[in-house]
Amino acid sequence: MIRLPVLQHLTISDYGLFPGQPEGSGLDHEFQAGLTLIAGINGLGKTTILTSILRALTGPVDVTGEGAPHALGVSVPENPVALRPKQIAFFAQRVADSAQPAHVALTATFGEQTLRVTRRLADLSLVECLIDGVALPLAGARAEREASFQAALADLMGLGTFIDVLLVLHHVLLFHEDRPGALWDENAQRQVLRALFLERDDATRVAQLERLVQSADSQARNIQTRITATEGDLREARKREAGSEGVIAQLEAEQKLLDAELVEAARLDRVLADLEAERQTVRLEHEKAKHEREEATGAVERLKYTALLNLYPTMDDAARLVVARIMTQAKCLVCDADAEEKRKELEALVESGCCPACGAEPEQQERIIPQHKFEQAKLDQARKQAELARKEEDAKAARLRVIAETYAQTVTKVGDLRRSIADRKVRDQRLRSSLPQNTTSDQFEQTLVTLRRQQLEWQTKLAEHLLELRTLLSEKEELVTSRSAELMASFVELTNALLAEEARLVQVTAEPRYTQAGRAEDRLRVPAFQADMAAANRPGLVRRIDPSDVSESQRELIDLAFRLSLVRVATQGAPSTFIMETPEASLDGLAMERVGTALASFAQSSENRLIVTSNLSNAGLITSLFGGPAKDDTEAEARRGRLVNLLQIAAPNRALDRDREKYEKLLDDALAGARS
Amino acid sequence: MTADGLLPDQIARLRRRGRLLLLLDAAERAAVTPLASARLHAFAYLSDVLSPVWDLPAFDGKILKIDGGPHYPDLQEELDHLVVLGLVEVSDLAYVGRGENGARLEGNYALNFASSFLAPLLAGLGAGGENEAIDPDDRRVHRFMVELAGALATLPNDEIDIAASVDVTYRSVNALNNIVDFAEWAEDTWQANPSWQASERFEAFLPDDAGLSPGEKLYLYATYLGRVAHAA
Repeated sequence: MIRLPVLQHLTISDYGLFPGQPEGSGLDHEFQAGLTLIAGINGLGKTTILTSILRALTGPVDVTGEGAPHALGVSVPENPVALRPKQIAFFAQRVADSAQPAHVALTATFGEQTLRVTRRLADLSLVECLIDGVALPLAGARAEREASFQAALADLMGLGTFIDVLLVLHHVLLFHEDRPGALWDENAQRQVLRALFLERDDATRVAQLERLVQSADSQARNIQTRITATEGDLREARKREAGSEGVIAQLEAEQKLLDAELVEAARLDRVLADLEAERQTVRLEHEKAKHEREEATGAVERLKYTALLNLYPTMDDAARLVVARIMTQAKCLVCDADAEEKRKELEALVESGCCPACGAEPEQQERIIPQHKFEQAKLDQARKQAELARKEEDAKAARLRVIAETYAQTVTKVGDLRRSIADRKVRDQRLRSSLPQNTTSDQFEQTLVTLRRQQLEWQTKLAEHLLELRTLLSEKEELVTSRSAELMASFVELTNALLAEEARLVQVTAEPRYTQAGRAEDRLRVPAFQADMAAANRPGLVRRIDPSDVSESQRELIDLAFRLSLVRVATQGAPSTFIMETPEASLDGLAMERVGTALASFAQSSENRLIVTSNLSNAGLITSLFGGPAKDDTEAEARRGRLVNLLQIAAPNRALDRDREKYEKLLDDALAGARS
Repeated sequence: MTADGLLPDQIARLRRRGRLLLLLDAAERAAVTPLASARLHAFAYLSDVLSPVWDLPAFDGKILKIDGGPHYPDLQEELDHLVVLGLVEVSDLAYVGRGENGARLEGNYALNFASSFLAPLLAGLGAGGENEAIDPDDRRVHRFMVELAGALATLPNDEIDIAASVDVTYRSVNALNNIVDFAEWAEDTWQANPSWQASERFEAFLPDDAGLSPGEKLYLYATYLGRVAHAA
């Protein structure tokens, strides 16, 4: 069971950036359930506070020396990596005294247990760690002390390793504006799902196997480089020794051609892999477009058909279908011909009350057919949708045909190339056997034999690790897929609240590229999630795979919904902390209110802590986060208890010195909101 | 354009019409007509996914997973044509709402035996006498469909309706982007088609000297679908 940190208390003492009020009291904040707002204009230290929370928990290590990477690789390191000096000096370089006397102390609960950790801000070293009031024995060198802390924190969170702690902190709990979230980073998402949903031992083993696979692949490739170099040496040696210049020249020419073909084959393999990915996507879009087209034209046809049913109740179903299809798609179901003229004619007849069968005018009719006017606006809208859907289907069908053709051509080329490579290798062997043997070339030959044996050993290890990984993943994928319905439901609920557009989460299958060659037999399939979202000029919901498929705010909000859903499902509703940095950065006014309300709802449910920083650029968001305008002065004052007010706590910069009153009023107004 | 003057798209449409006639003929022989739209599409899907049991290729080797079970817009379009051509009769035709603004045509379908064109067409497609089929292989396709329809007909009506949705391949979590590919681009069709695997596994529970015919495998798999559908 995963236990995410619920922050209780934060103090930052003797740090020049936060002298506090009264002067010297530093920053001392008790987190209440629900919202905590860290408010301050740019440059007062909002990011510094968030970083102090992060580093209190991580210490001087992270996933890389630079911190969390912008995008994760296929595997994660076994152990956390020491931060580079520049990253460690994050706090020191901001103040004159290099933060020598400064400390951060963070208290957080994990289920029933409480952690209090104190670190020096100058170098992030561990001063004290208490679990349920009992000091964690911290003996030995600094690295050992950190290792004890890391193991304790992983235990508290119910995670397998400290790397998984870092992944969850970065990709689930801390929302940084400049990093794509777990929904958009396929590798990060896979690692987070692994850490959160697999049993601890399995999660650790999967991560280990991923590293072993990559390492074996890398070793095999490194040996290949040495093989290539030794083959070159061998050729040179033979040239020197044998005097068989003609054969050597032929061998060299053959080798050049072979090398070129091997390079081309590798390139074509990559092209095929890319085409494969694209044709999968386009096929999906084409299939969906077919359904969208059928349903959109069905909507138009329903309007026509219903009208015909009222006008001519005794007409045969099939006849009515023919007329409705002509009136909808200008297509004749009898002979397949285009029937635009007939469509116009029929619509005019129906509108004027003439008989659609014989054209008789109302006064000539025995049984008077009433005039019928379609609901034009509704019909226009339905027609527009149907037209869009038809265009979408045609476009996707055309694209699919092009890809299919390119794919088939590439497969043929690869086949030809492989046959040619095999032929060249046979010729090469034949030519080599015709060369005289001698000592130097024998040595190279011997080296080659050894290298090839080593390469084979690594390739065997690679295959074994892949097999174990494949077996373990397929045995355990149920642990992720069994939660997908909850994740999807939560995502829809949250996106309904956060976004104006309809969106949903879809479970798909990812194929992480564990080996550089990316051969078909090396590919494994793991469950993953992607978002479908409505688009302005296309029918239905469209799959969004890349962050560039959506606007910046949509990217952030979709990711936010995914992270919150992960938190809900992984903790089974237990409380958690969620940290967001300046959510107003990419939102317009209306979206701000919607997002504020949705976040307020998350903060108010369970015992969640929501920590949001704001640069006061949008008062509406702050008011919405607090649940709308305060009813009275008492409520407005109570909101101050949830505020880390950097206008008062932080060392003032020039902007604050100059306009302090204006900024404080801005904050007061935002806290109270426009009362009715 | 092909030698007989037809475009590939026209041939594909004619093949879909032929397939529909065979599906409806099989349903007729199993006495489960008229077939409601959803059931007809489910039948089409199951006949694809179980075709390797009969050593036949799938007509369409993929399916898009959508709300309400398998549905093929292309097939539906040709069904409308068959109705208008008088080869299929439809009753209770209605447009049923789909999603926020969409609609889909639904009805109950059966062969129209009053049409004088129907019998020769069916015979040509393999549903008649031994020497009447244009392609003798089509007679195997027809036999397979009749057997499958017979197997599905043993289930109660409500279980037939959800049989396709509970099929192991349709429920497969391996669906890449919601498309279940069991025979279109799948490199290993055995691995990609758990329904086929399940149908073949029944044999493992028999004594060494006993075996199952393809028809018996279909019946056993249909029974399995019925049980899962019943529990759903």
